[in-house]
Amino acid sequence: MFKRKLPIMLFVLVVGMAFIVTGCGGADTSPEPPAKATFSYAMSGAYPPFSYFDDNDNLLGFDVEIGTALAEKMGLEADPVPTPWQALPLGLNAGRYDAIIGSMTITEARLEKFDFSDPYYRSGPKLFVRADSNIKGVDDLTAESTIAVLMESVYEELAREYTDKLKFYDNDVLALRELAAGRADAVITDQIVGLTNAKELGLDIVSVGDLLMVEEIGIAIRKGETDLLNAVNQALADIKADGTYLAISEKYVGADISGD
Amino acid sequence: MIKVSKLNKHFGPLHVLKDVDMEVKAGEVVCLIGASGSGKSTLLRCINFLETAQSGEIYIEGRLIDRKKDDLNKIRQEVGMVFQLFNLFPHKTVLGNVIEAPVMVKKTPVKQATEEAMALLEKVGLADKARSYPSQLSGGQKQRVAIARALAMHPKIMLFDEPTSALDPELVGEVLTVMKKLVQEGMTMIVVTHEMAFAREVADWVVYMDEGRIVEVDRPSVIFGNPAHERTRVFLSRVLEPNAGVFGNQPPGNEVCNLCGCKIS
Amino acid sequence: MGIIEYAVDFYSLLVKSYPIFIQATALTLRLTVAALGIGILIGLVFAMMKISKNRFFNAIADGYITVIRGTPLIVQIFWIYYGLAPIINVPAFWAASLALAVHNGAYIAEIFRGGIQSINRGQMEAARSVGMTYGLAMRRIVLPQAFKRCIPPLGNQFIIGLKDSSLAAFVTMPELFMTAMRRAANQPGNALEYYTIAGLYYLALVVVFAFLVKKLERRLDVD
Repeated sequence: MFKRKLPIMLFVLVVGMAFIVTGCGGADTSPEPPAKATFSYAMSGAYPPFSYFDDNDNLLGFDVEIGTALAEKMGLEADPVPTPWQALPLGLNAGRYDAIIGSMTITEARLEKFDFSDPYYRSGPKLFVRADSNIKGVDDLTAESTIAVLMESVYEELAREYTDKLKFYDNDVLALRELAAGRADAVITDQIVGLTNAKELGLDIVSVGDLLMVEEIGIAIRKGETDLLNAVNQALADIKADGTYLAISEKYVGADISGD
Repeated sequence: MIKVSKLNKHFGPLHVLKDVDMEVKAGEVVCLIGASGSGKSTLLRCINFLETAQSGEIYIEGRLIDRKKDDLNKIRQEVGMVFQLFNLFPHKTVLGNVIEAPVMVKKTPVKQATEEAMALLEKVGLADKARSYPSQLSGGQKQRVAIARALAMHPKIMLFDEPTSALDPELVGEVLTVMKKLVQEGMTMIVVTHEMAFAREVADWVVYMDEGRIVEVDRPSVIFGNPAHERTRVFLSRVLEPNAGVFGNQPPGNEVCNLCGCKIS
Repeated sequence: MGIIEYAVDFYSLLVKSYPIFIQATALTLRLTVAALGIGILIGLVFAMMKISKNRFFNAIADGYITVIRGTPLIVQIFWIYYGLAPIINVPAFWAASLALAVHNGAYIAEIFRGGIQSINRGQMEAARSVGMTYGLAMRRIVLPQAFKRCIPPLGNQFIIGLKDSSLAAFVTMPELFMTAMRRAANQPGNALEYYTIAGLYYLALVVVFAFLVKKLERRLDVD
């Protein structure tokens, strides 16, 4: 009978400790808003100039500051939560934050899972190739062309229209490097992202052809949270009206990207 | 003091104790002898509840022990045990080995336990080794520490499971000397042993076991002088035949060790 | 670019990034210590369940070890951080620590089980024979000896746990790996260098830790 007691005692001890430990931790670091005093929103933190960390580990970028401005208009405290891109939808579903302001394009597939605000900026994918490439536009792509794209992005579908030979990368930088190194024939990525990165990296690549499509980028919010959705849309209109939006846009991208 | 009645023990298909009855009165010394595998050690371990008998009864001081209801830990405190391979706690000093149970189980204050332990170590002749670790001791010294460790709980009875079998021959004497001292003090003891001279000298009763049964119980003078059973006689003649040696008096090519019955290959 | 210029550039990156990387190192260490601390307790409980004669406990321990060893750590981290969130909102640090603890606990359970079973049965019997309960005998006699034998494999597990803590990056912890990822995203030209720097910090931690384990082993070996 004594052989049974020890495991039980230890089990209780550990479970108890786990609760104490998480309980205490929860008290001082819980990111959940108790009375919606904060507006928490997520972005990857690895997508300059939309979201990134500077050398002192400060979180900056267009998405981050748009979120701050929206929170201010809604009378809430801004709480940006940098979360890896692949995990962004998971975290929203799990209630880790209220919204995704993470340069997420509004698509049919995503609309099935989340509600989206009015577009907070518009952009579009372009084809990037090496400067000496024979490819001068999407018409020059063949089934043999290898295209590098960001995984889990809208560019994947787009690329499939031209070839099945896709290579997937965790971020645009890696994809652009692969292109420059000759391990891919082309990259499809956002115009702004491609150009700023190519310049930053000193890569000998160029964009060719027109925008492949116009993307509308929205703020994802859990389905059914209509009050929040309306408040965000109202705040978005407000910051566009009072010039806040334009200032942020010019600060990070050097142009008005609202597309209005 | 201890009474065993119709005890049966199986290890899987092996029937190692068959309807064993035995009684030991207070102050008596009983020596269990017999070939290896005859069930002597198992009987001892059943008395201490280190093994569970499938059927039969064990009475301690007239009271039937119920494995399920009685606190076996309490019972074991009163039944000291000394093992063939000493089983000292290697991570504790000699003193630490002796005071462990009094302090942790009986909650004796460390100071008092230490004083008692030192007296016991004095008795077994090892007071100067109190701060040593078991690995620094000879086999004989280890076994004497093991005896002191068992005595520290003030047991009413001591069980010895072949206490000298693992010792070099020149170290056997020091352990037997300590055991004789206990006999003189009137300790109740059950000793599984191959030391026939010891059994003849100190035992009140000698029990001969073979194949899980008690074959014969009698005074040492009878067992060693004129045993009633042929099997006892054969066993003893093998063990005691002065010129036989360990493998003597047997048809060549099929020798069995006279002490424990092991076969040579 | 020549090798010397490259080395100079790398060195200046190393120096420049020192303040944030040292902060990240502290977080990595906190994660690892919390994870392994809880992991050792979990390991102990499941090791006891596994060697227990109670079939129910055996089954629980077997199930736990099978599931945890059979699924990737990153999945377990997601279960606790995202999966549990609707029920209890475990903060990121404790979600990551807990996931790492639960993960390492399964391996530590096996280490302990092996250690306990390597201790001669006679030790338990001797302890029981002087009236100690199973729990007391385990705690005072068997576990101290078993624990000593477990130190080399535990040290090894600690090193694995330290490096596995990099997966906490996926639940927003700005530990070493995450810090490198952020630098890399911000300065794509030096991405590989930043990952290498993170690697150097891990290497330094492991070297120091391995040294400490060796010292501990030697100290416990004296008697």
